[in-house]
Amino acid sequence: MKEINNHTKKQFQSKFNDFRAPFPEDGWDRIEASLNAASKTKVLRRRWFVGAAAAVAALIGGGILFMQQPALQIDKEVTEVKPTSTESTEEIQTNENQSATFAQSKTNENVQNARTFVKQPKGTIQPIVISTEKPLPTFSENKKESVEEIERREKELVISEIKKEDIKEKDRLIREFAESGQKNYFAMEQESVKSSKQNKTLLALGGRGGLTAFQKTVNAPMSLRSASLANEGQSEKKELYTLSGVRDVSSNIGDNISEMEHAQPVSVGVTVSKEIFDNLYIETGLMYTYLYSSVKNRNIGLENKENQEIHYLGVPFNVNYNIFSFHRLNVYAAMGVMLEKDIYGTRKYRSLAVNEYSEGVNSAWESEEIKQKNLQLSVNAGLGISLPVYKNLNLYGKIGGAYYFDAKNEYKTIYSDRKVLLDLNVGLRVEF
Amino acid sequence: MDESQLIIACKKQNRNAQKALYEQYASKMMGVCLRYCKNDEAARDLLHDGFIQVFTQISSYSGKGSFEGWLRRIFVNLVLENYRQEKKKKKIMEDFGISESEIMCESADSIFDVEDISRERLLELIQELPNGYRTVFNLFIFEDMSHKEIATRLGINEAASRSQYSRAKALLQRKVQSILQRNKALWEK
Repeated sequence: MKEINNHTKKQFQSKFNDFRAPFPEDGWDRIEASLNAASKTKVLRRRWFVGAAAAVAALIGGGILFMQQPALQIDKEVTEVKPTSTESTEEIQTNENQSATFAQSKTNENVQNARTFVKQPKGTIQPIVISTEKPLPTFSENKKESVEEIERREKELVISEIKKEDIKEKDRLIREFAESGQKNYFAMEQESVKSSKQNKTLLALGGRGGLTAFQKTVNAPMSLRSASLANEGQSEKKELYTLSGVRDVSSNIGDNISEMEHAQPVSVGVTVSKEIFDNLYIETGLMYTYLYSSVKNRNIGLENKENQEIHYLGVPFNVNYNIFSFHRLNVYAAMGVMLEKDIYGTRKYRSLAVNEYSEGVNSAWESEEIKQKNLQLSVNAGLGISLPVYKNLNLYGKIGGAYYFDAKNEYKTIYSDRKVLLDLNVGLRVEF
Repeated sequence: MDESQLIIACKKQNRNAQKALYEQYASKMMGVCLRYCKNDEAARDLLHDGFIQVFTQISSYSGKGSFEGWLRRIFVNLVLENYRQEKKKKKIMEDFGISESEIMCESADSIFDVEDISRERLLELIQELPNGYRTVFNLFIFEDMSHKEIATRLGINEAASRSQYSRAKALLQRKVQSILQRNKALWEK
């Protein structure tokens, strides 16, 4: 059996040993086109990764520089309570002076009262001391004290009374100051506690990149303009710019190779989130997205290329919920919608014709501005993590996907040809 | 530019070198593709895909062994990959156009003589074989693989590989004999 098999092998191998078969003429062209498409995708992916890495590095660096500026001590601000002790001291001084003046006048009055004489019988006049409201120092009947001494004593008495009052006043003021300071302190404490319990606001700056591109290679001619929405009465083949003397493309449809490619969308944006309940945030903002697409149609005698760039501006509405926290890491779920509208678009195209009568006819790139008529609506969901990096600055990353509804727009993009897109969001958030 | 220089340039993705290498080996590889495929169109597609793989993976060629042998392995691996994928999609249906009894009438142990038949005609007969038979036959006869290796690569058991080879050989033998008899009859006329 083994010998028979060996014999059979030798027979067949000798028959086909140097077998060479004719290969297709355009074989190399097809291979070259495929290799070019593959290398372009690699370059696009590499550029996206480099761009995303640069954006994240710039965000982190900018965020750190921003946070190194003098911080706003909002909740730790100390309200300065003006000390009233100096004022009270001045007042006391003034009061003291006033009191001294008053005392002086009072003393004088008292002295005058004290000099009231009572009319005596004929022959003798004796001064009689009449008691005043304030108790006056008792005078020895036997001692004749001078008016000055009386005044001095009264003055001292009044001053001592005033001083007592001043001290009491001082104590009262100091007590009040201390109490008011404590009140303010407690008020601030309550204020900060209250503010910490107030709803948080987050400001985020981030970038988003699609994780999947789109490529299609078919035999039928393709264009980036939707055939169903092209000018009425004109078939799609007229989109392929034929030159005179060149065979009609559609007559050799089997030889046609068409390649369409949509690059991954790249977005950057700013969002604001507000906490409405515990761990539940609503978010909105502004998002810019860049879309790039290209088509190459190749046939015997004709090759045409189209490139398209569309710039979108969108407003997202999301709901984020913190699922759980692990040490300093927060895990959250997000879902929402986004409405986008193109703000600027260009389409470039050219044809290259090669026929038996000419070496090759190159036409220059022509370009036109394009507009999508309708808004693009999408829904998205994802899972993210957030990690604090410096004080109120957090780094976040989210992986998710979005579904793009058919907007029935004229120009094809990755949104129309690939409904579901996976994406990666990264960025920085600041808490207020 | 000799072959080693071409290979070095191809590793640097030099398009001219890649084109030169393609033109040097395309006809031989097309012959390989025609043996594994059921028609010319499928063979052209396999040739295209095979060379894409060659230029993508050329950096893994270390220079040991012949470059042509390395090329053939790339193509054979691609055939096996396609076979596995089609098997997953259940696209491979064993076509038992002739009954088992008819096959078993042929002696599996008889010597198979293909001297008197042209290469092109023999190629057509190989292409007419069912997919599974054709793949096993090619791997056993032209790639010198054992049934154990074939079974591993195709995801079948060894007994299935042996039976598919035997059936392929019997079918070919029957058809070759039929052609030779017809030619002999014509010659005698």
